Amino acid sequence: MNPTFKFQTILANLSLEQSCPCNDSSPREELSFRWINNNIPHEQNFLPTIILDELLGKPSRVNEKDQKFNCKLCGLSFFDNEENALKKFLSIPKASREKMNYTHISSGLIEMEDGVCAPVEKSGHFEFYEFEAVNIHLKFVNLKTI
Amino acid sequence: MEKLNATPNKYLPYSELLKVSDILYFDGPILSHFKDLKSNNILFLWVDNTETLNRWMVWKTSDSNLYYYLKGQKSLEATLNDGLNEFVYFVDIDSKGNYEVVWSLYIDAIPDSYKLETDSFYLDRFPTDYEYLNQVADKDLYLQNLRENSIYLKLSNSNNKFKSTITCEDASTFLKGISESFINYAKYDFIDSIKKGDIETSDISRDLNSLVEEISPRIVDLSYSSFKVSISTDSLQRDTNGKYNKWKKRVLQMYQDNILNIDYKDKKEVNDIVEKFSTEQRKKIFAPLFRITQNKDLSVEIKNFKGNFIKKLSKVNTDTQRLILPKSITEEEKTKTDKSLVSIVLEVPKDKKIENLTKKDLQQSVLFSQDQPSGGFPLEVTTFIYEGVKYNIIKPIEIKVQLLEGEYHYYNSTFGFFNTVSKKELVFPSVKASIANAYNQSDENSKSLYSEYINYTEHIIE
Repeated sequence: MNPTFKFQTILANLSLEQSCPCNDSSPREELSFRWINNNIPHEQNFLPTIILDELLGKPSRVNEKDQKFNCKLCGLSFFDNEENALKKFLSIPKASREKMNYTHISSGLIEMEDGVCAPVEKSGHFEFYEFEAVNIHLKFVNLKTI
Repeated sequence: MEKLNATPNKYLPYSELLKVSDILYFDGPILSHFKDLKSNNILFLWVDNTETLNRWMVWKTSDSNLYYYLKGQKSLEATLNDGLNEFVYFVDIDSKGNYEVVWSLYIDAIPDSYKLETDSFYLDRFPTDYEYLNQVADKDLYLQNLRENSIYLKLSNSNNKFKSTITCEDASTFLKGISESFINYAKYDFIDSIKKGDIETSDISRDLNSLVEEISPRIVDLSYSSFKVSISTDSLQRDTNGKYNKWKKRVLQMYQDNILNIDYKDKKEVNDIVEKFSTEQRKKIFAPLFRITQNKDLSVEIKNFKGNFIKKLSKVNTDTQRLILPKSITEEEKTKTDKSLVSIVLEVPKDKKIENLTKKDLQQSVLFSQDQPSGGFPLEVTTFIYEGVKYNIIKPIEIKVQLLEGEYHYYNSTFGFFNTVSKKELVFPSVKASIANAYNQSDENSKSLYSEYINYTEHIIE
């Protein structure tokens, strides 16, 4: 029996037309990097944005009505190396960057039993969907301030 | 969230937006690229949020702006402030993607907290999905490079009757004049560069003809103010021969330095011109230029690509014009330029000496004739005098002779000499002098005529 995703109920409620996570996602081992906000509890930094936004009382950051996109809101963004994580962060215009409140790049090893990863995009970004019994935040430590 | 000083609306002025990609993304889009029904590039940048809405700053940008942004060569700010956008839009969107409010603001009214910094560069590698933009950008880059190496000329009308407008005829005369003057300068400089040994050619006429097409001034920018035109030469494409690129790159700048930027009120500079250029060259380079400056209703300003003022091209006074373009000589030179070299083969009695041929003989004896061939006429030299000793050359030396731009050019690429004389009577003596000079000289570019011809020369004691 396939393991269920941590946010299976939310995914089901989204009534997506396409499979989510996408079909080319797979469990794999990946040293991963993620921007985090050190001023909120560490585990909150690893909540999918659809849940975290609700928790923090703000709207999810969307700019179109797209079914596929809703699926991505249930995943977590990671980068495949520190350099890609930093480059993307510094590419955000300063005014927007400061309002996002990210303070650190954290790193950790995602393993096969943790969930599924979508293919790594050319920019080094990929989505990760966590399995139910996993606490992925425990594997991540702050690497550097940004 | 920032209060915007604008009238709220419901719609963006772009229809049927379709997302191309999220250029910056982390747990949701940060900077997204859309296309509208007309294929315009529309950028959405997340700038703010309330408890229920996200605010996006939205603007239109060109393919080339987008390309240079993704290449890391233009900032995001530059894609907005490119002179094409008068307005920027702010859209407040809920978490389901519905547009709640749309605001339009003049670009200079963007609140400080949403302003893009001038170094808002994209730092990641160029996304492969955007390779289709390469072609657009290549064209743009070509134009941009030509502009950066161009001369900006602004024509103004000093006659108030028609305000700042200038006539089409004035614009046309101006462009024709500046183009003619530059091309003639380039021809002079090309030949001068050969003489100095800066460039080499095996066929001046052929190379010069192909280069004239390649370096002909091209309009690379235009604007109405009254009439601002930027001219440049194509120094980017490899020339036909592939060996004159350096020369092509510098010739427009040389023209500006040596012709346009001259202070025609300065006697020394004017005298330098007279010494440097032959009367024929002066006529070709300066007459079209003086025609432009003579128009009392027009004033011409020269600027560079960055808009820095360089100088005003003023009317050149009559005395200076006469000095540079003396009338009597100009007429004489005019007939000279109309000439070309031809060779004819005559059938004559064996004992008839050439010097005794009559006009009638010439008319009746022509077997065939030939126009100046590419590369010039071959001239075989069989004797020369070196240090007072006459030498007979058993293996003749072939010299190529061309009449070009009213002057006689001769050259031999093996021994690396090239020379120009202004009168036909001077061709033979000058050729012989050049051979004598080359007889005992050699450098890295030429062989010593002595070492090559040691077995082919013999003294002739007279």
